[in-house]
Amino acid sequence: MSQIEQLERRLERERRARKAAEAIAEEKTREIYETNVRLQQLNNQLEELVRQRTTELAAARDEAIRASQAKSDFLASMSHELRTPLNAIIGYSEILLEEAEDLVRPELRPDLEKIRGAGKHLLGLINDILDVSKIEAGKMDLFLENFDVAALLSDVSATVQPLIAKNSNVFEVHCDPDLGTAHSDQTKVRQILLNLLSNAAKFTKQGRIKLTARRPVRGDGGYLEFTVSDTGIGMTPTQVTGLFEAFSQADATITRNYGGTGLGLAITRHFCRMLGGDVTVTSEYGKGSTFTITIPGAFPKAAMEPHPSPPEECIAGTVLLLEDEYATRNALGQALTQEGYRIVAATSADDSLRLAREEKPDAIILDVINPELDGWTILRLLKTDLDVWDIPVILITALGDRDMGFALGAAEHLTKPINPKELLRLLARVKSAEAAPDVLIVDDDQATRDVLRRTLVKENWTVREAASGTEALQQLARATPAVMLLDLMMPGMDGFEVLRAVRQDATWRDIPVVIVTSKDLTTDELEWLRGHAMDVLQKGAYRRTELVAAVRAMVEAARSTSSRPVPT
Amino acid sequence: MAKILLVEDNELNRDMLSRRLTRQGHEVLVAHDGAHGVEMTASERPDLVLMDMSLPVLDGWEATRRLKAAPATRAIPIIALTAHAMAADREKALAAGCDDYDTKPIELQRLLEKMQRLLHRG
Amino acid sequence: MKGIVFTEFLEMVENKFSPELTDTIIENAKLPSGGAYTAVGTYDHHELIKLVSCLSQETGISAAELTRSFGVYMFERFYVLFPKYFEGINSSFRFLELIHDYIHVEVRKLYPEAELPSFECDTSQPGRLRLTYRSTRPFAPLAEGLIRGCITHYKEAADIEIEDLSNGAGTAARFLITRRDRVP
Repeated sequence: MSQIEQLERRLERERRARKAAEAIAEEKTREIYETNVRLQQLNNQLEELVRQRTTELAAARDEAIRASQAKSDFLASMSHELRTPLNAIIGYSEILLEEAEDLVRPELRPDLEKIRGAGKHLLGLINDILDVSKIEAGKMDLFLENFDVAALLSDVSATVQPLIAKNSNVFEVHCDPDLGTAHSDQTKVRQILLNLLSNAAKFTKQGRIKLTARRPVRGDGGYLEFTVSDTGIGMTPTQVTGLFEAFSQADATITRNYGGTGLGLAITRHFCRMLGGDVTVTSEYGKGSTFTITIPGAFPKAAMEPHPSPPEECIAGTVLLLEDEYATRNALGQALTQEGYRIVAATSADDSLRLAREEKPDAIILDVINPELDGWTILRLLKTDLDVWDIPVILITALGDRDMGFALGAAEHLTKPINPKELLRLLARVKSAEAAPDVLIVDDDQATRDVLRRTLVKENWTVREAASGTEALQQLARATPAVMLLDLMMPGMDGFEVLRAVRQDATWRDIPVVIVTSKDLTTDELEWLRGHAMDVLQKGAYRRTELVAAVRAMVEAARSTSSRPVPT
Repeated sequence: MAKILLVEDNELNRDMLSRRLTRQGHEVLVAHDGAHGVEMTASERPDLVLMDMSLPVLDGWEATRRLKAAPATRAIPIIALTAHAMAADREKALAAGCDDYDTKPIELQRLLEKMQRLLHRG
Repeated sequence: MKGIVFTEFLEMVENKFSPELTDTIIENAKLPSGGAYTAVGTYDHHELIKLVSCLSQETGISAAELTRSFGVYMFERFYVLFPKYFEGINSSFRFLELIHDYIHVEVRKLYPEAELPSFECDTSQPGRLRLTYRSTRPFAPLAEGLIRGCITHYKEAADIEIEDLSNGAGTAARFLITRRDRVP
């Protein structure tokens, strides 16, 4: 009886539980329905917002374009509006000067000269201000053409002659005989030279002003060098700093005594740089100044490209570089490009995987310290992808910007349990021509060492073992192996310490190291590694050149053994 | 002592230049716009035309093109007077057929030299 | 406390002891819910304490021991019922770390009002896990059971040192788990 009662009670409980569950289910369903309705409303609102925003943006963009056009128009018309009346002032004063001469009224001359002088001065100021406005509005363009350098110089000399003579100065011109033609903005070069020469004339009295022109390097990458030197008042070091800044003339007394806007040199330097060159100055107070201008003989187009690829035939290899920090990527990219490598740059994890698959580079360089990039995860993904697992990976981190030093990690990486075929395939690539190449196994687990030993001995590898980091170093000291299998997680001196020691030693540095870790890098080790790798990697610092040499070695090793038959 | 046609729409510029050229001993005629300039060149046959480039009715480039296209006026030398020292303007003037160009503000000496070169050419 | 704990507990009692005993302890406990639990419902955790206490009286096994065993049992049940939380995990430490950072986060998404204990993990030393359990409810032995169940599930060997942080209340404890076997 009691058993039936028990079953009845149980049935009753089940029924009640079921009903409770049904009620909960119904309530949840209703909640979901209401949430969906809300979601749909929000979605509609969002779409409306996006539509509005797009329209606003389009309007803003059109407005910006209009404003920019308006600026150009303003500059152009201001230019005209300002110069026209000034030209009249200058022109009429010149007419009056001529007529005073005709009427033989020499006493009128000085006043008329003053009007003319003031007018010309004002014109110079307006020209400078308009130039600066154009530069700051980003509207200063270049007009590139071929022109004869010597002809330009003689034109400039003729123009500036009267100005130089005014202060009783002597003008000397020394030009190389064979200056040839340049491809640049002639008008700007003229303006630069005129600016410097007129400054020299202004600040020198009864002295010597010298203009020289050379073309030290011809052809591609060639440049012209002009110098304008004077024996004028010179400048103190304080006056020299800020010399090329707009609106800072050497100091207030200069302005008062010599006039000027303080803009001319700023414009000059801007023009020099626009043309791909620069201007520098040396000066001694009371003795004089020398300005040196360098301008490329041909306006450099190649300077625009970030990493120009070496010509097809000369490519030493392709390297995929994953590094999101611009300066590092640039420095590394340049160093490698100079060595003849073609650089493919990736700035994100997705990028790097896709590019690795598409490009099949000869080596991949990964930044493993940057948390944003998660180099370790990318490493694991690379190593477990059938298409790209066998591309050598170099782990780096940049150590501070100043030295651009790099810490070098291991090139290869295997996950346990080790697939013997995989191991052998890997090792085949680093095998040298020796008959019985020798490998050093560093792992504190006896079982692992045994398995590896058996696999390798069968393939005629000579195997040495070390059960700890310390023993590994001892073994290395005894003889340098052709390759080292290194377990990361060992008690005492861990794999990273060994790695660091190896990389810092000249004889051991180039030993290919295959890192062995547990199957999945997302376990404890990864977290631990992430926290500790920074420390360890930072302890070894390698210059860019060393890194490049390491890349080269790895790429060559990969290349040279890729055609060898893979042992099975 | 030549017959010079000055095509310039700005009154002050016209006045200044024509007076200074007259003082040099030239006979100076003036036109106020490009179309007028073309007409007067055809009818007066000056020894030289000084053509401002930015003109109303017909601009300096078009006027030059027409004058150089017509056999009657083709041989008359034209000096373009451009307001800017921009290389682009210079190229444009020469492309239109101008024999030379000069930039404003006018430096009389410089202009006179250019004029002399062209006047003594033919 | 979520109903699933109750339903699993009663099923465990049914399987490990008997349906009759289950019925007995439900009747003895005089529960407000009457023992009619659905896994998706929410019930007062005191009912569980009452049930365990009755079971202890009937079996002579201490409440703490029963709770611990339940914890071990629950872990395997979690594995069967919620396999997604176990994907890609092959060490106990990894799983235990995930309870706080992932599992509880997921639970709260579906049940925002759920009051879940905190399981803070410290893995600064490889091979060792320091786990601090804190709750408003006195279920430290349950936590211990879960931990043991977890270690067994991953076929690992470890020593567990337990430090009571709540003066016997069972609401807070620190577990120091040291792997005896090699960390792979």
